[in-house]
Amino acid sequence: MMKVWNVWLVFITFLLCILGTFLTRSGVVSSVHAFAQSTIGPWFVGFMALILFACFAAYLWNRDYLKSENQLDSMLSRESSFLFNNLILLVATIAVLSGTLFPVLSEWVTNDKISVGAPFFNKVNIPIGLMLMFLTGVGPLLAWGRTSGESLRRNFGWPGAAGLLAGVIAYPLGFRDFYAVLCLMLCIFVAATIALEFYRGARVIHTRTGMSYLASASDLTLRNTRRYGGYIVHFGMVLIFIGISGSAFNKDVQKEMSIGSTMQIGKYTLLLQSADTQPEKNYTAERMIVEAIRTRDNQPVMMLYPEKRNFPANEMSGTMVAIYSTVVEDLYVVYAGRSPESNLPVIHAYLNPLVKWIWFGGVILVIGTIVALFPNQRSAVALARAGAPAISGAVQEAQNATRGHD
Amino acid sequence: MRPVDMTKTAPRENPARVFLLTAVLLATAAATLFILPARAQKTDHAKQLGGKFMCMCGCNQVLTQCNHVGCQVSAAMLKELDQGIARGDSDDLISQNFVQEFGIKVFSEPPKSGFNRVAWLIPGVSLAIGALLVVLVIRSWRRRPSFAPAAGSAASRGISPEQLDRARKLAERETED
Repeated sequence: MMKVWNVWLVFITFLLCILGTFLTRSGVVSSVHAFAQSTIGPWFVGFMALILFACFAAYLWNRDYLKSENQLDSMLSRESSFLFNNLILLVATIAVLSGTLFPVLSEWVTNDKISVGAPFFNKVNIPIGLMLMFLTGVGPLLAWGRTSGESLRRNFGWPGAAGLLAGVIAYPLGFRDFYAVLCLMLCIFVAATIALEFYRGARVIHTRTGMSYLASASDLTLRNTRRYGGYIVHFGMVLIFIGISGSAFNKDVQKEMSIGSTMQIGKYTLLLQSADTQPEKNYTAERMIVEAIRTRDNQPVMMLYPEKRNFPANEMSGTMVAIYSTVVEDLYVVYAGRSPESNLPVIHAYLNPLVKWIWFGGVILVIGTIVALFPNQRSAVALARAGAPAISGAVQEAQNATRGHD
Repeated sequence: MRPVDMTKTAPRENPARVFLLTAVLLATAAATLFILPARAQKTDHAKQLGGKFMCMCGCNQVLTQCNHVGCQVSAAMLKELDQGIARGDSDDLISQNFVQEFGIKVFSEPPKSGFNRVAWLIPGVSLAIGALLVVLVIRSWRRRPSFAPAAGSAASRGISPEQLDRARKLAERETED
């Protein structure tokens, strides 16, 4: 299904990557990465034209192989969910592309320069991302071809209840941001659907073979690596979204600090113990020695050494951020230089919850992708039972048809 | 691998067990919530208002998030912002002062007026048009007749529709549940 569409998505993705590089490097849109005084623009445009030509040629050359049977049984089917999934991803692309190019368009139309910064992209893309997360949970619950009302009730009942319950628990615990609560509810909903899928499949194998549930789940994954690898990828996305929802609780504090003074951020007290200067081979580091103390019981947690490096050769400077990272939150401490008025060190501290979840999610996403790339390791169990060769062949054919899009 | 006994049927879904599984997931999420701070920090007025402006040094970052070491532009702008708030100026007055100084590009978002409103409309409109197209595509694909069986398919190998239907149901059971 939709082979031509998929191929063109691949083409357009590559083209947009090149366009993005062109926009930042050429200076068409404001960017610190733009090359100053460069003739690279025409080369980029030429390269993009060449790619577009190659894409069209590849498509025309192979179009006979791209014919497919585009037929759907129902609006409520897994095939339909793929179409809506495509739509959401496409809208996200349009939102980012239009936001990026809009300053150029606006200046052309109104003669006024405008900025389109991070707040615009956050406002526009958060609802789109949540829709995508919703479809991530709904898609696997819909059957190929057609989904009955009974199937919907059976599949959505527990995950939906778990998601709602998460929202009910989150509110009294301090989640006030609407999108953060909604994100958490959807994440729990999706995680529950994934757990259900593994549980149901593993239960069948457990019943028939007596293997433990864990071994059954592993066996299940090996039997259909694309499908269950896909679920692992979905779970990675859940962790990433939970991590992103933590940004609703980000805190930051900035303070001019004398030696021995403290600042408070979240559950930590930061004590500036001392400062020193260390000459290195090609730079001089001005270092702050900061002790992070847990305020509740006054227990020292970690020594942090944010520093500012001055490179005399090119008269440039850079900061080295000191990081204390846990599963719950990341504490970043930055030495931003000395205040022009007081000459005291200016310390920025950032407390960002659940950042590690984004990294864990990324790792799980990669693991899921690797699993999905492996060929199935077990033959279909149905073949073992089929007596007649005709049935066996038909089973195989039907399974191929059923699993074709996993 | 142990021999597979296909004569056994899968037991009916045990809701208690499924609930237990989701409860474990919930508990994990809830545990995370408990160790989160009880309330998001209340941002001060300057921080909130500063988030509506861009740093004008050319870094394309929001004023309160400019992380350039020793950026004189953001330091001056933040100072102006703090002074305005300290004087008791309204948000509109502070914004007007910035606009007079830098133009409307000082805002971190496109203004929701005039032509610039289009920037806000594009995502929603494209979603609405796209959703309509998807529905139309699905409806048209639903009306299409099935393709004739290809060579090498079940029908051409002498498998009856009943056998194929039985096999398809079996495959669906195996893969869906």
